[in-house]
Parts: sequence; C-alpha cells; structure tokens
Amino acid sequence: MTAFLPIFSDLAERRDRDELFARTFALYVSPLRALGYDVEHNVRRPLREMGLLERPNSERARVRRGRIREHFVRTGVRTGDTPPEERRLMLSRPPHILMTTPESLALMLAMERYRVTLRDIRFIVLDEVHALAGNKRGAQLSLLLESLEAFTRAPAQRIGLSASVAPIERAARYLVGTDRPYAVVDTRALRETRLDIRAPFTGAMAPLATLARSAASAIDRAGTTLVFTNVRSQTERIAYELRLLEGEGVPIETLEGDAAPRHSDARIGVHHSALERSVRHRTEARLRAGELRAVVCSASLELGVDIGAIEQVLLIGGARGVVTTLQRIGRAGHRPGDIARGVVLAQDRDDIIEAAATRRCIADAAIEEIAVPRVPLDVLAQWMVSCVVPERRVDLDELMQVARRATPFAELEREDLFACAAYLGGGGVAGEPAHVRRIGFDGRTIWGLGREASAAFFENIGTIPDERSVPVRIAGERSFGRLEEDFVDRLRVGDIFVLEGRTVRVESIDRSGITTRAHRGRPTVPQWNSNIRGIETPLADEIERLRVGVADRITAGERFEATVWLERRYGLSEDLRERVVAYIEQQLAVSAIPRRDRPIVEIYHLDGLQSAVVLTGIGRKANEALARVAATRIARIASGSVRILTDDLGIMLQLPPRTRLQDAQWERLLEEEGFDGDLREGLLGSTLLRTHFRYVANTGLLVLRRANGRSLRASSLRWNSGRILDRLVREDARFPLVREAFRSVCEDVLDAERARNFCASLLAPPRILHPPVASPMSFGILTSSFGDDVAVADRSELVDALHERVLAYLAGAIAP
Amino acid sequence: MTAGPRALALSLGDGATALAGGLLWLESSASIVVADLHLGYEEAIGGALPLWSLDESLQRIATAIDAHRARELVLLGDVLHHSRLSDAAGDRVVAAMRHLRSICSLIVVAGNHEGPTRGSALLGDSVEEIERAGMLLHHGDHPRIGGFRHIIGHLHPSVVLGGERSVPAFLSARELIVVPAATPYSRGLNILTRDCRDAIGAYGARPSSTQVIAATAEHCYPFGSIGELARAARALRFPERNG
Repeated sequence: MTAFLPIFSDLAERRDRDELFARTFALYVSPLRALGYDVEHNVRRPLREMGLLERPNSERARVRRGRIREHFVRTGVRTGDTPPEERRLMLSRPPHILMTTPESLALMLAMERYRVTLRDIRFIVLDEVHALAGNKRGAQLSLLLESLEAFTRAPAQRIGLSASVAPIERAARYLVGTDRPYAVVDTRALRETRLDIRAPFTGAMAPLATLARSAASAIDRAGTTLVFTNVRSQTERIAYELRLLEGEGVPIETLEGDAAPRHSDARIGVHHSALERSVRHRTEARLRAGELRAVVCSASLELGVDIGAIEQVLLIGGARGVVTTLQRIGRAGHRPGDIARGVVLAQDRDDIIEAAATRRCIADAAIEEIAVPRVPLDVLAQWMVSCVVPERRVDLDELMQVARRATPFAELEREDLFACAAYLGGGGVAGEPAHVRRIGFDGRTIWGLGREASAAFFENIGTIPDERSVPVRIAGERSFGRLEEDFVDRLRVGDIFVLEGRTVRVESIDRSGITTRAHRGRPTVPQWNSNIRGIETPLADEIERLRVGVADRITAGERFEATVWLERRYGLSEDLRERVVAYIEQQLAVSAIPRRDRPIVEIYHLDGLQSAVVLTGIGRKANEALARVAATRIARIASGSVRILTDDLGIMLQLPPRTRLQDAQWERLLEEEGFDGDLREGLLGSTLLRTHFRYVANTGLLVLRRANGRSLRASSLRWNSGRILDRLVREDARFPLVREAFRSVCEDVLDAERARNFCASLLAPPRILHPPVASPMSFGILTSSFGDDVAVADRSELVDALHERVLAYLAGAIAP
Repeated sequence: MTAGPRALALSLGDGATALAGGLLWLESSASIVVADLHLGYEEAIGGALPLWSLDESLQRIATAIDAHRARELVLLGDVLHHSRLSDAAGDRVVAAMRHLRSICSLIVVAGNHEGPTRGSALLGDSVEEIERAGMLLHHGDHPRIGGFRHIIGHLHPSVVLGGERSVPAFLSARELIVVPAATPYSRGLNILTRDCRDAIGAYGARPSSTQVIAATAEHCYPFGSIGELARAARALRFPERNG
C-alpha cells in the first residue's frame, strides 16, 4: 500500500488544482488477475477515507472550459475477465488508477482508443517483480513499458514491489530499463521466520498415508492450516488421505453410478491450478470465512491473493527452494509481529537434508537469484506486431532504440530485429515466400496490414504457454476439475485417478472432456509430474556442503564431530542428526558421496539393461542439460535410444538392449569438449524442444492458438508445431524462432551454462562405481519412471531397431 | 506374407506391391497408387510454413512413375487438405496436376477432404471409385463389405514408435489393402488401436489376418499381422510413452 501513497498525494493535488482529467494517471501491473482486484479493494478504502473516492452514480464528470475535469478519483481493473460493458465504460470514463496484467496492457497499448487514455500516466507500480523479471511475461512487460514511455507526455515513475527477490540490483535494473537511475528501499527482515522439520518415518521414507496422518495431527493441534505439496497429484492424494482420516466425503460408488460425492461441506479443501476457477474461488472464500480446517494446495496459493488468517503452514517434502519456502511460510501469521512459521514434513532423508540446508540459507539470507531472459525473439516478434497494428508504420531503427531500453533486450542485435521483421513480413523462411504474413516489411520499416490481418495478434496476445486442459465431470454433472491434455493423452477408459480429493474411474474420453464415475478403491494411474520444481543455487550448494561436510568427518573417523557440526550449522535435533549421519554412512558403505569436482557414476543392471546414475548435486535444471549431453554421447557409441531421467541429485541413463559401456567410456562422458554441440544434438527431436518450440511459435505468432474466434485443439497444435520445427531445423536453422526455442530451452528451462561449467571444472574424471545394491542416494531415481528419451535422430534407425526386436520376438528369440 | 526381413518392395497378392515410400504398385495396369496427399495442409494450419510438402510429394511421385515406368497414377482421395485454398496455393496445385497429367494418365479418386465440390476447380474431374485387376479402389470413407478386395486410403495407418514418432504402414488382408498416407504431416492412426480394428472390421478384415508393412522412404518392413504385433507390443512394452 505504501507504493500508492505518492499516487494518492498526486491525485489529491490534481483535484485541488482542478486538473483531474478523465485520464489514467497511475497504472498497477501484477502477474495475477486476482491481485488486481485485491489491490483495488485495498486502495479504495484510504481513498474513501480521504474523501477522494467517487461514489457510485452520484458524481458525473463536469465539462468546463472545453475540458473534462473531475472531483473524485475512479479506480478500475482491466483484465481478460473484465466484461465488455465495463471495458466500454473505461474508455469513456478512464479510471485514474488502473489495475491490469501484462497481457491486458499489451492489448490496450495496441489500440488507439486506449492509448489516448494512457498518455498522462505518471506512476507505474509493478507488483511481485520477482514473478515477472525472470520470465517471458516480464520480458514482454518490459517492452510494453518502453512503448508506453515512448508516447506518454512525461516519463512515469516506476515503482517495483517484491517480498523476496535477489539480487535486488538486477530486479531494479529490470524495472527501470537500461538507462534510467533507480533507488532501492529495502525493508527486509521485518518479519521473523521459523522453519521446523519433522520426519514421520523410521526407515528410508514415509508412505503418503503416514505423512497424511502426521499432517492430520498437526492440523488438529493448530488452527487453519495450509498444506503445500510440490506436485499437483500429491495435492490430490494428501487431501484424499486427510479426508479419509477426517471420515468425511469419501466417495462411494453405488450400483446406479449416481454417487457423486459432495464435498461442499468438507472441511479439508483442495486448491490447485487444474481445478475449475469456481471451485478455487469457493475454496478461497471458505478459507477467508474460516470454514476450513485445512487446504491442501500446490503453488496456486503461494502468491498474494488474500486468504485470511492462516495459523500454520505445512510443507510436504519441503519446497525445493529458499524463495518458495519463504513465500509459503509467509502465508502464516499475517498480523504485525507474528512469526511466519512453517513445518517441513520430510518424506525421506533427502528431504531432511534439504530442509536443513534451506533453514541455513534463510538464516544467511542466501536466496535464489532471478535470471532475466536474454533477448527472447518470440516476445520481440509479438511486440513488433503490437507496435504496428492495425495500420501504423514504424522505422526499424527507431524500434531498435526503444527495444534496447528494455533490460531483457539490452543486447538485442540489429540483425535479430531484422530477421524477425523478415519472418513477420512473410519472407523469412529459406528465402521462399511463406504464407504467413503478419505485417508489411520493406527492409527499413514495418507496417500493419489492416484490421483483418491484425486479428491474428489480438487473438493471440501473451506469452503464457498454453497448457490446454480438459474438463473432468461425473456423468450427468457439471465438470469439477481439469486435467492437462498431455496427461489425458495417457489416460484410458477404466483408469482410476484422484482429482479434487475424489476418486473417479474413467468412463469415456472424448473431445468435450472426460466422463467419470465415483469409485471406491486405490488409484491406478501414476502421478502426473507437472510443476516439478528443481533445486537451484544457493540451496543446491548448501545441500552439497552438508553432505560433503558429514561425509568428510565420517571418513576421517569423526562421526561424533559430524553430529555436532550438524547441530551447530543446521540446528538439527538429535534424532534428525542421527538419521542424516546414518544415511551418509549407508551411502558411503555401498558407494561414495559425490563432489562438485569429482562426481560419481554408479553402474547398475536393470531389467537386463545397463543403467548408470551420475550423481552430481548441481540441481535439476543443470542435470537436465547434462543428461542430454551424456545421452547423445552414448547414442553415438550404442545404437538405439538412451532413456534419461533427471532429479536434483543426478541423472540416470539407461542403455538400449545388448549395449554395454566400459568404465573407461563412462569416464569420458562428462568431458567439456563438444558440450554445446552435443546438447543441441540431444535436444533435436526431443519432446522438450518440441514443447518449447510450440510455446515459442505461439508467442512469436508463427502458429496461432486461436484463429477466427476459435481455439485450435492442443493435439493439433502440438502436432503441427512438431512438424514445423522438423522442417525448419532442416531448411533454415537460423530462423529466429528456432534459435529462440533452443535458447529458451538451454537458458530458461535447462541450466546449460551451469552444466557446462560443471564439466569444465572437473578435476578428474568421475569415479565409476558398481554398487552391489542401489545406493541410498540413487534409490529415488532408480525407482522413478522414465522421462524423455534421447534417440538417434533418424527415424529409420528406430524402425530398424523395432523391426529387429519384433522379428526376434515372433521367432521366439525374446521371451515375453 | 508374414513377418520377415525388410525389403525395397513387398508383394501383397493380386499383383499389388507395397513400395518403399508408401506407394502401391498395381502390376496389371502399371499403376502407382498414392493416398492422402493432403496438399495445402501448410496453409490450413495457419500458413506457418510454405507449401513444402507439395514439391516434395510431387518429386517423390514423379520419381516413382519414372522408375517403374508407370502408365497410370491413381490419387486415392484427400488429395487436398481443404477444397478452399488461397489463389496462390491453388495455382501451384493446378500446375502440379498439369505436370502429373503430362507424364502419365492421372485418375483422381474423390476423398472426404475434397468436400462436395470434389475439389474439381483445382484437381479437374474425379471419380468415386475405379476397378483394377478385380479390386475396387476408393477413398475408404464409406466402408462396404464383400464383392471385391478393396484398396483404400483414408485411415492413415501407422506404427507408433514412441512419443510423437511413427512410421506409415500398409495394411493388407484378403478383404482389403490400406495404403498409408503420403502427407508428411500425419502421425497417422496407430494400427494397434481399437479405432483401427473397427475400421478394417467394417470391411470384414480381422486383426489376426491383416498384415502390417511399415514403409519408410527407403524400405518396407513386414511386421506380421496386427494380432502378432499387438502381442509383441505387449511383451516388449512398446510404443514407449515418453515425455
């Protein structure tokens, strides 16, 4: 609210000077629509108390001396949800303080009627800067702010807000652009935080039901509780178990199939992004009203929507990051002076270590740094179109200057801007005229092609990946949740899964959605792993420090010192210290503890296939990059596809049948030489690159998500962009959006740089070990199911391999 | 014909031969049969690509006509992805048809994608079905049983290799031959699915007696019957459903 004080003051002075025109003077932009409504609500109260707020329908704008001046301040929210009549009203009577999202801002800036109302903007407030600076939405916003600046009468003051962002200077530079001064107001450390660790298991890990029991008793002891999980499917499972324990709303199937379980009075809520908006809003409202004992949620309740008084936050398995942990436990105890208190319920011993390291990082104020995307060309392309629709013309050199003032585009090359113009102008593909022509381009200027051609832009604004979802309903009822199409692709009739705490069995799947029937019994469908977050620096470094610190002391025969150190540095209780030490001892007994400069490769044989777990400890994003490089190198020696799996600790590689690598070959797997080329090769044909090319092609307006008022089916989008990528890679690898797909995968999704540096800094080849049994550190990854595979790129080789296997099978050479 | 080593071409009986590249050769009439070209697909998906598949397909067909000294080319329906193409794309299709007519006799069989106009403005006259060597060639969107061995397209049969990768395949039974789609833009219908079994069942063909021949640009791969392949798929756990 403090950020609005200068705005209130300015508006009050304007009124007193009789200069309160019907124009927008202050703009508030947040990544969440809901935040806009919250903030509007909060802003109106002080305005009312100052006597500045317009009372509904009581005051009308007064026309004097040919200009419209007003006596009271209007506020308004403009998002994708704003109904058309309100939008129209906003044009005739613009809110003086306007709350919006980056996407709606893009839309407004592209329309002359709105631009007129925005020319007098004096203040721009950016909320949750940390949730924008590091992604493409933020990159888009930074360009939009420069566009805005280019036509406002005077430069506006930009005010950025963030509860947890590092490094602050980078966030500030993102906020103000490349060539403006800034000042930092640091009000950190006003709230005390506390993170407790509980490990409700005795062996290696806790079954979900045990965790749920532990959560239930914690909920019993405290008031309203938020239970955060890391994976959406876990949200469902935990809620299911909690409801079982509460003895409420357990779905029961009847013979008639009319057993739609009604959870409206259940006291355990579920909240995640796959649920219908109405279901989520109802849960939020009941939470605010104090009607719920607990809500099990994923990241969806992490950011700032008002959810009332929360007494306790439970983190199932930890939060995979320092910032995330702070955000999540910050949801508790919102009264001044309250301590933000959170409890980690560890699922296994790695969670204990992670939580201990997180606690250390919080104490050291070491939090994850944001990385501002570097020149995302898809965002640039969309912005270029937005600058000329429907029928404007701009000079590319001028556009270049505007773009380079936005921090993510500071390094924009002239050549890239022109390549985008050439593509958008319809002639960018391998010199042959393509059909797509979004704008006109003559080598120097670009221009809009009229209202009809501009529809492609207006229907496809934004950079948020379109992860389509499919409604799920109980036969004869309205839908109660949604599932991602990627997940639905793997569902079959008869599968049993949990959604919104209900167990349902799939009855039919069609274009309109999934029809289910309430079911009793255990789910048969494995979890779907969207939203998995990886551990990054500085947490990954601290975890490694802990492991190595304990291992070194154990190896030196100083077991006792190890426990003392764990207490001193990490504040672990005796029970937890013992478990961590025992865990590391077990790892040492069958294998070793990896170090940054000397990782280890454990060789196993699974289902007759040679498999290797490379323990690196550099975090999931870097491991993902490393895995693809390693798999590419193996695929070159062995023929067939190498399956890969990644987690925070390391990577797992499974070789194709009848292939074995010698220790010496494993040793050479992580050499730095050829890293970039091998990564590129490993990404070609991967699902990962395809998926991200699809996003890039959507944002860059190459493949439209919506055309003529209709949304394309996600399966068609996926297929089309897959084909387009294949062709472009073959015909024109320099095509801007192909380069952007590689860049965003390597820099934003994977951490290729960190992986490369890791390879470069190895002091010696990795140690090759052959543990007799799965080592404790590898256990998790060995028992997971596979993710992407990195195959020899050629389809005929795949057919050859498959054909050979089928023939062998049919001839009886392979036993089923 | 059963599962066996890969080959450049494989006989399907009745003088019909599956060729690498997914084309069908009919001996008695010296015909090349091509199904489901879906020309203009690039435009139909929003014009994100130039009409690359047109030149490519044309080239492939012309090469085959030349190599086999074909007298006749049968385009087995769904030659166009959509009957309404832009003028520029339409002109190129017309030119392509003119070129094909100049090198052999061209027969266009209408498919469902051509719509009620049968794409006549671009493709010229078309027929609903023709008979060759005692077999009935039609697009296959209106299944029928008996009388003839049918040669159809329409289904886009394919062997799924895993993820988004698949390879087009012929299906061959006593009752019918299904020619794979020539368009490079189709993932095709997984021959192991119920939809595929139902589709061939409409012609009276059974999975146990319907042979699968996958066709890459270079080779034909006889995989045995759908039934055998389904068993192998279960035992060997393919296609892998990855990422």
